[in-house]
Amino acid sequence: MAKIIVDPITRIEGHLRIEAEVKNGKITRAWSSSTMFRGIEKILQGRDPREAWVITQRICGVCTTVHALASIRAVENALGITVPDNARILRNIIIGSQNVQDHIIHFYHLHALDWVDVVSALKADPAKTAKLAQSISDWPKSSAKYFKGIKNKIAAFVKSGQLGIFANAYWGHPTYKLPPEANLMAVAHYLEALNIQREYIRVHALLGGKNPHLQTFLVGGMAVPVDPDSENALNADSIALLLKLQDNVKAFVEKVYLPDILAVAPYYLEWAKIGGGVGNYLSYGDFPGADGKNWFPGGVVINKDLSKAYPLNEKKITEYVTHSWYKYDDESKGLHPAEGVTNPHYTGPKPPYKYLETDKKYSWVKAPRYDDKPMEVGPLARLLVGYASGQKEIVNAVNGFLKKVNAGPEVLFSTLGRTAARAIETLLMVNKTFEWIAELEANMKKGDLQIHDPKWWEPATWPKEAMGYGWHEAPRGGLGHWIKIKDKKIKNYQAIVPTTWNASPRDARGAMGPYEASLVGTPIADPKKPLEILRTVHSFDPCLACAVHVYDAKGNETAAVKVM
Amino acid sequence: MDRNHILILGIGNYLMGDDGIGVHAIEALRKNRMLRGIDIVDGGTKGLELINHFENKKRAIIIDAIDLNRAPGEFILLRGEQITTYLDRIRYSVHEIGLKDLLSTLLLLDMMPDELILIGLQPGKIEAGTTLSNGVKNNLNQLIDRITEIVHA
Repeated sequence: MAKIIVDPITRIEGHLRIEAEVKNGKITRAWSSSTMFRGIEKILQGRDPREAWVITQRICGVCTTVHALASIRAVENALGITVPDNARILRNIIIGSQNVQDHIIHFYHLHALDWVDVVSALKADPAKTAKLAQSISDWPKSSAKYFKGIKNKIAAFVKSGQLGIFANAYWGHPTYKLPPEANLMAVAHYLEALNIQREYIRVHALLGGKNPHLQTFLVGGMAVPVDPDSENALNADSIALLLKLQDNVKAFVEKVYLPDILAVAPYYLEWAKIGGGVGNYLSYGDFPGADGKNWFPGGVVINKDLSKAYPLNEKKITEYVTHSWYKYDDESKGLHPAEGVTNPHYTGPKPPYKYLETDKKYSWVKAPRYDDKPMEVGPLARLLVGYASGQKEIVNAVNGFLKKVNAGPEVLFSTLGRTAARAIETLLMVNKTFEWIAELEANMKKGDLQIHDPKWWEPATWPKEAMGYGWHEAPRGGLGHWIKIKDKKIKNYQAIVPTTWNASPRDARGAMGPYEASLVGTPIADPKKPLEILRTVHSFDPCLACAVHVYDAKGNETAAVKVM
Repeated sequence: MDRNHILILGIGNYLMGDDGIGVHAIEALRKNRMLRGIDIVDGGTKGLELINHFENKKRAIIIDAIDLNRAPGEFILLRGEQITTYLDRIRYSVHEIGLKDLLSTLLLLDMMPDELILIGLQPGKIEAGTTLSNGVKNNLNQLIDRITEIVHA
């Protein structure tokens, strides 16, 4: 039996360590250990709730809008505030575009290289590559000349020794299955994705101000004015630009991203049976409509049963610290985030160490549970909850995909399923954004320009004490902020980020978290090059919000993978 | 001074003490009237979203906490290959979508400015909080002065 240690897992946001026992070429047990951002409560206590979002948006840099939004929703929930229709629409557009941009970058920049061998791309025949590309879509960048140019560019990059983002210990791994032409096509698309995302993020500049951090969120609405006749507001020109940006990204998603998934999947079909995980899925729901209902419905799917989505009961969310480096008075019980406490207490081994104490406490991530069950969150969870709820667009999109791959829903509960779900929901959100833009236009036409309701802005209007929570479906899954306001200031604040659900360690019952469960049964061709672990972990799109930008490199200098 | 083609970019996590040196520096630089017209950007912990700020820039000055095992608050300036060496060293940085990815992507997209400088201070304490540790705080002004000199050079 071998024990594999992968630390750190690369190409994720944050710090993650996986320990896995391998017997007869398959993972039998796995543990997920990570750091997580602690201290948001400390920083927010005593501050004005109306400014919490400015602070929380800095928790993580990968998608800052999500924490701003969850924070604002928590305050609005606590104070009973409903935002004007235009603010609802603008927020949907911002969320949608954040998800879309994030997913494109995740697939190409963080996940694709698990399936695509860049070095093999250098052996590809550009003419054959052109033929392949043209057979899967009518995306214009598909000539032999184009692919030759890409090949030369990559060759120069590799030759200069500046592998940079292509630096990978696993080139030539036996489980890379794509022919060189598919690899070259994927690498070309990887480069295009970088350009597409930098074009598309102009949406945020349009709606949120020129700075990288959106400036236009506000408790009670938004701060970006909407006025068809004003130069300094969102006007007809802005709408036209928004539509153009949407058109461009839609073309990329339809003609490059989704076709790439469908082109690559047949070579990796066994991954439709690997990486399933806990089989329970949670979505808070999001994208409120004018009728107050969420376009993506919230709910819970249990044990892969797609015939039923259970409605959410907020009180059933708890966090355990049984196997996490925190102190509770009674660690056999989970605590609801409103009673949440974060008392870090490291009892692990002193670095440098070989193993974590996996039968004791082994992670800085708490273990969130719903109804005492581990839950997976993310695009797959959203789609499954939507599917089980009978949400029409989701049902159609998922069934359409299953038809194309000629398979039943069981393939969704896997690493491949998770990866496909991310692409499927990207297209759904891209298309829906056109509707939201149209809603905004319609409001503007009939003279409804309100974007902020100041009724409850002044703290004098607030109750002495208030409690609330803000839920948001971020690119990586369900995000929740819980707030207690007392005497006009923040008294308590807790956040459960999506990756806390997914990267969770075991709970008081010993039930594994999603990463841990999804790794069990994974075949490992070479324990020294556990590419298979990366494929599944990356399918979750980890973001551990570790929030440390410069890591103190005084620790372990040893290699990233150890086999014991 | 060619204001339109200079980028001053501060990065780091403002919520993690000295990790946020770059952001604190940007706040101070924004107040400097002599630097009006120059793109002075608070990039926070953002990664690839910062790409567009490099468009058409000939000089880029990136401000960050830089860990070279020096005394807290010590001034550090890296240019060109020194930057690559430094970033390669922290290859297991917790922020994989960080500066390294940003610079690699600039190269891939042929957007790398002619001159690239990474400048900052050795961090002392990286823990939750929005204030700088003393050793670092005391040298912030010196850092600002050096940056201003470089911009005018």
